[in-house]
Amino acid sequence: MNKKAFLAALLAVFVPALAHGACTTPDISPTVVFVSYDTEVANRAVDGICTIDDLIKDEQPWGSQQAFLTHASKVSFDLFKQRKITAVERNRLMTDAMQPGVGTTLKIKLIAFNDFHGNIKSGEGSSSNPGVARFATTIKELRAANELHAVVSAGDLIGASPLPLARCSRMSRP
Amino acid sequence: MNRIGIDFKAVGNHEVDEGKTELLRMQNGGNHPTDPYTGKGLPADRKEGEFRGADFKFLAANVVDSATNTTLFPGVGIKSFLGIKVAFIGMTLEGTPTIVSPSGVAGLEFHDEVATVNTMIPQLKAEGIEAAVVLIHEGGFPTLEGGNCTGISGPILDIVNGLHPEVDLVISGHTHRVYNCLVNNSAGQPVRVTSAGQYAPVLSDIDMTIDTRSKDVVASVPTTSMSAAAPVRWCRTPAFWNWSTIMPPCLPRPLRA
Repeated sequence: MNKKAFLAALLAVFVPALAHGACTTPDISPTVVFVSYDTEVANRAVDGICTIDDLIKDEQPWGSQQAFLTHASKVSFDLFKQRKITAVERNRLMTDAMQPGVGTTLKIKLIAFNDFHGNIKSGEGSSSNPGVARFATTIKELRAANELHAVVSAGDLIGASPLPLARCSRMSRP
Repeated sequence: MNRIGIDFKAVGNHEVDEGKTELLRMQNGGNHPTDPYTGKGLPADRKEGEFRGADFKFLAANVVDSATNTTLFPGVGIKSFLGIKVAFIGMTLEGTPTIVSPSGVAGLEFHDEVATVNTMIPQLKAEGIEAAVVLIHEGGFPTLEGGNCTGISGPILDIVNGLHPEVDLVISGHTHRVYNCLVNNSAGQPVRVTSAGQYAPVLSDIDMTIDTRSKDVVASVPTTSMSAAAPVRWCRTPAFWNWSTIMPPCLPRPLRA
């Protein structure tokens, strides 16, 4: 067992049972990452289902790195006091929190498609057409991956369609 | 499409196939004048017995209604992310009238794509919006499908080459190809340009990083996401589509109420 794994195992003892959580979609990355800086601190649930990465909220619009650092310092110190992270881990978190660009960026997800042409029925037109149900499922998964998202189409959502859409109610066409 | 949760849709050439009145109806609701199935969709899609319209905004910055001399739909849609606004400028190709029947484009004018975008950018900046995405129904032809853009050709190149340097990302289409390129703008700086092929299999999944101080985009990282392998979780369809032999059994609730 390497040092990191041992540390993680040791800390797991202190992690309380998952009972509640304000995080609807917890960040479940294996380690705590600030922008592109990997702190190598094992990311884990520390408050209900909320993970360390969720609580530090490095991707919110803090306005200034100072405001972010004040927040990160308080959160990590509280976690340390509650014995949910070690002093070494807090040190790692704060070292990377001070890196340039951390706490001053926001990450959004754009889910984009084009030329759907009303291909609602799987297999229609082409055997590789998965149909709108699978398409919708993929969009749903991508939307769940980041609460800050937009779904956009670059045109030809409709028209020049296989028969089912042309036949179906014009009500549902857009 | 309302239940998929789309935010904005650029109008393409096929959107105007049946003319401006029909296109306006698809956005705003109401029943089709002759279609026997009109007004018979899911209850969620109806309002007082008629189609209630699209939940998402149609965008057409370069499509002008000749009768009113205003754009048929808004040219730009703005979405706020924790207080930071991102503008989506939507448009079709200027050459739409050359590929759609005259009845479809009657009473509509289609303006130059580059001039339209470049005129809008200073207006957006005046409103404090620094992040600008162009949704354009015009595209390019890569030499390698889904690959990088060595040797890409097509109208999208000239368009992006002419764009204002404040445009951060171009989401294109029309050519039914898959690409993820960097093309230089009017200032010679590379701009990310994507297209996600055709029909349902492919999506562009773009992670955009915005600097919260400048409110501007610092990076856009697209990946291609395939929906072909996704499990079917949404199959509730009006009975008259009669796909029961093709679609798998339905789960109790639709994707999104």
